[in-house]
Amino acid sequence: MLAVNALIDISGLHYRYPGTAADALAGLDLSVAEGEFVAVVGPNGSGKSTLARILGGLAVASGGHRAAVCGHDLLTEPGRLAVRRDVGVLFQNPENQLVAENVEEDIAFGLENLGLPASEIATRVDEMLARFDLEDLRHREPHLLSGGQKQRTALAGVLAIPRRALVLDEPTAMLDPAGQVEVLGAVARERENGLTIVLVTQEMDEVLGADRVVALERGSAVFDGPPAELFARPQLIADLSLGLPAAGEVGLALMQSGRRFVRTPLTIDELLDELVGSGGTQLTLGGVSEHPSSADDPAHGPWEAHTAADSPAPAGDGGEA
Amino acid sequence: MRTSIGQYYPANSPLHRVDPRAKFVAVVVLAVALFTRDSFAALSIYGAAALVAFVVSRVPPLWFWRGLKPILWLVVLTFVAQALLARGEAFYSLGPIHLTKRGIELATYLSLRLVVLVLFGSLLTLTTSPISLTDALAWLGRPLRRLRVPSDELALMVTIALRFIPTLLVEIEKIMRAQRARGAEFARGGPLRRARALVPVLVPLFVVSFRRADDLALAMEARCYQPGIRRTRLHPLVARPSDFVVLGAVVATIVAASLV
Repeated sequence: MLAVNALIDISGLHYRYPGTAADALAGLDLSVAEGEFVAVVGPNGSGKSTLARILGGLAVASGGHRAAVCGHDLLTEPGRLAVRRDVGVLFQNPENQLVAENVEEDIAFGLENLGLPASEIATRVDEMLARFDLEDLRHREPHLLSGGQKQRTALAGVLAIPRRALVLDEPTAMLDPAGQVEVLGAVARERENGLTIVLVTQEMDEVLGADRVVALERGSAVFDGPPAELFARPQLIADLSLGLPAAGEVGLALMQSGRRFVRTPLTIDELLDELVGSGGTQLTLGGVSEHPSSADDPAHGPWEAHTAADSPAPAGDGGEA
Repeated sequence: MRTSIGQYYPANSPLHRVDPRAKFVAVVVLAVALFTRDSFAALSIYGAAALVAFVVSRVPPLWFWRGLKPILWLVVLTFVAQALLARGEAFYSLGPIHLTKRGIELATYLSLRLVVLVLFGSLLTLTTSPISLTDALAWLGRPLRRLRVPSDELALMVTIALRFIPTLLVEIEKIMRAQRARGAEFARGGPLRRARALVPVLVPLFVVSFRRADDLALAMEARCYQPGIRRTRLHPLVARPSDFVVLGAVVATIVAASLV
């Protein structure tokens, strides 16, 4: 699926790690339009992290028909260096991304590398501290920050350089639930501001918010479409060891025990709608309250038809090498 | 929890705010000057200067004492050696030991000079964070760039190393706990056995550290770092009038010491 004016336009991309026999990326096609939020999923070793590195100009593709990102040709050395300016990459382990002795110095690191004047760096650092709610932690040393604070600092550092696209490589995999909420909230705000986002993840709940999801298997895309469409294909989900979003897993268990739903619930809201009835009510911690308009992208449930034998495996955990 | 690397005492005294380059140059110059004139009067001027700087620095005396403690044996050794080795008319003799007035004077002078020297050094390290000190050394080492010494890269390397010390300490703790859970004992046996018990800690530590280094290099590249680029700084070192006041005071001290 190739969009016109795509910010990321990749076709037939290959990558092979030195000393290995198989391609980590084997003729991958990927197109992402400006402002789009694309999730990339797949089992361990499917090439997700490799893709993230190549998109950020941090790894050299072994070959390809076309690899244009933000107008830079990733198949050339100058293109790879230039793309680092436009595409930010946030990695899994926040500890291993912080370079400087405190938060403000770390946010400044990328700007210092660009050789900007001190006054300009200071203004931009102040902006980023406010944007990522880090003002109180300005002088805090990295080892005294929580996981979520570290990852927000790393994100602020990545986005301090004005970016056209952001690639996130399992940014919440090493965080506790509170840290995950912090980081995903920050990412969601960047998305609202129109930033193009590619999110590599193993968390199916994170996939739900994406415009599109691309599923990789052995280095090529085996699915490219809306999240609801992916979750409507139980066999593919099982083959890729992906699992469902948490609410979907609950819905599936209820269906298997005989409960019939109008549509497959994927979010908590959808599940509550199905359980309480769509009479405009929603369970809250304190009881029942008015429900705002529910999600309008219903995924119609194919789940009734299948048996436990082809139910999806739980999502794998553990990072990708 | 605040881990203090090295000796640095974080505070906001006038001495803390002085440009690290000025402080470094001042201490080096004072250390050299301290050895150029042998008189109690000159030494007392340097001592007084150190005392004034100590009051201005607002560092608790205990912190100075901590810096002095490790070299106390050297001070004592200097005193004893000088007291015993000096020649002259002995005022007290016990077997082969002869104490002379000149010997005691020299011993007192030399050991006090050592204390003043350590005080100057401590004033620098107590009021300057290791990172600022690194920045100062990188700046002072810039002429070496002509000789292809990558002073800025070396400074960045030291900064990153300092930044990762607490991380590595946590890592060591974690590995030791994991090894203890597998039956390792670190506090038993002789020195050889204890050293050998550390091997299962050091090997995973190195493995993890190399992986960290790889990740960090990637994250730095993702933020447009390339070796050899000319970087700017968020807080560049800027010389202010107060820095020249400090350097002026140093010159005045040296002049006064050479006149007495």
